[in-house]
Amino acid sequence: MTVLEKESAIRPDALGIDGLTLGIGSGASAVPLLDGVTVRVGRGETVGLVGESGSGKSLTARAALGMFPRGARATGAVTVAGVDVLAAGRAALRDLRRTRASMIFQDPRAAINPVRRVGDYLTEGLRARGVPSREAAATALELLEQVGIRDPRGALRRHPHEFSGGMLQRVVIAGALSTEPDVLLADEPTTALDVTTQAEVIALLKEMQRTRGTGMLFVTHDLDLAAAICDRVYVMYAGRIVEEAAGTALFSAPAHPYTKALLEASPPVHGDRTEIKAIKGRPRSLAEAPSGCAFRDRCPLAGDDCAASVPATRAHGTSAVACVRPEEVAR
Amino acid sequence: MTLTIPALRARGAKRRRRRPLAVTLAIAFLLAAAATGALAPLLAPHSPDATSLLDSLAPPGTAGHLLGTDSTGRDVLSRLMYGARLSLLAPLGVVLLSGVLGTALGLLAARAGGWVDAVLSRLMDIVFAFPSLLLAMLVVAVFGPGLTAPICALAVSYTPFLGRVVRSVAIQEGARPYMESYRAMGFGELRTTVRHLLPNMTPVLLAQSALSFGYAMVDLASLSYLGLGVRPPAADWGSMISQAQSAILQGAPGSGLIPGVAVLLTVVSVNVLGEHIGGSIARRGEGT
Repeated sequence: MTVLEKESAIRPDALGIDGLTLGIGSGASAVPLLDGVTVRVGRGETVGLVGESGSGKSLTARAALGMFPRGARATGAVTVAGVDVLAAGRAALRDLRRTRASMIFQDPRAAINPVRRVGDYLTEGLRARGVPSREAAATALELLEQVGIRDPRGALRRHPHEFSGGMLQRVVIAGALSTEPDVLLADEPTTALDVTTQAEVIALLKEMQRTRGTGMLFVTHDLDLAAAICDRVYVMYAGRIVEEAAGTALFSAPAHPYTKALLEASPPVHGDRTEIKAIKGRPRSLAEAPSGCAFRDRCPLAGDDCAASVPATRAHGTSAVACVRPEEVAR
Repeated sequence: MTLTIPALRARGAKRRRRRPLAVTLAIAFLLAAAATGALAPLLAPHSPDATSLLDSLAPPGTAGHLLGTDSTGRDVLSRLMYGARLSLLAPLGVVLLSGVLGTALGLLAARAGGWVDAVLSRLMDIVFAFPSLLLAMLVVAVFGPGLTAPICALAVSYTPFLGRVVRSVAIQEGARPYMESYRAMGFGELRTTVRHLLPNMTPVLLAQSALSFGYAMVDLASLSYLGLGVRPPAADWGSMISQAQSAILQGAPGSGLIPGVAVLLTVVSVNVLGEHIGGSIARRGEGT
């Protein structure tokens, strides 16, 4: 056993989701939402979760906090830094959210109570953990400095509406890091921001994550962004993981027809102009997906064998893919 | 800010930062009414209960009786000043009691949902359907006249008035992303509700409370008018109006009209003020 393996045996993964199946209701009226989702985020690792709207990426991220839709039934395993989320009681879940896992939401303006001062927002989490108010204020000041807010002392006294979207997202990031979490769940943290601001916020996130060794699950629908910043990327379609690949490999060698179709559907910034190919049909939710492979009704390679059963995940090159004929995708 | 009654907001935006004249007048009137009530023993020219049959039904402007006298010769101005105490405090009691009850029940219904919500909502509907004055009269019939019983009765019957609004606003506000983000930060339902949801509902609470203050004042005055509220000879504006009935028929409307105008002005002032406060809180978070 190497030192590294020993280390990981003692300190479990920041986030481990294993075979998570989620559904609402029971019997004939049951609506499936997720099916056998497996996602792993190591410490200090950036992992992307990519998919269209409704593919279940946000549900998966929220599952790490034990936040399920009302009436949902979850099976499988979800652990955050070794803590079993599905088995955790209310108090344990609250504790988990306060200390081990933090979430950054899409729109910072919507994620902060608009009538409270930024200082209140940052210190509230700390004070809830029993940090004295003076100490909490000092920590908040330090955090604001670290995330690059000018005049942090004045910023503590300002209201959210006095900040730009990018600056406010920095405040939210500061808040998320104040608890020194093991895993950071970033749910499309830059979708609501300008492209230039987006780059700054991403750089900040990466920097913060690198210095603190926090694991990050980066949820996005931006495939290029995910490939650029993530060590590994999971591609989701209709409540299932269809491909897992290293960030770089995703571009060069997509192993799932869906991934390839997504790549072909986004305009290239460099090189020759090529025709953008739309994926025919519309995104399916798990509930309305066809039997077998959920993508088969939109897949150019689909055959009769795709309908037989949900393709098992298997290794293909450096990737893991849930497709019966990944060899044909590369062509 | 986030929440709110569109009418409040639209009007608020037009007013900008300067305090409108109507609000200034309303504040001035309420302060004056409260001050005269509090300082009545010092300010009142006569004892409110001193009768003088020789001076009865003096018209306003009579020397020594600025606002005239009533049918038993009591000084209307003095009674108006003393009457301010009960007439302002009793509706305030109703508003506070029903405010606490209504907010608590409304929040509980909204946040708990499910059968708790169903039961509480139906209960509030039942109370809401029951005429408040009738309930107050029943309670007085059981417990005898006095102010405590009608205040409690009115508070109960006003509870759904606030509770239903609180419930619907809390459901709407509770679905906002920031509530979810606080949940994701590991705050319990109680904490997010009390520290974040409730403060953000203040405009609605204030506006609604101001409305119910007006209703309570009129209802209590009606009870006094019916002889079920304040026990004579203690003065309050409602009983003053009631006791002036015969005088009005005798062609001396002053002793009835004056407390009536006091009730009217107070109700209007409170409504103007409540709406203004609601609007300015709603504006604060918007950064306009």
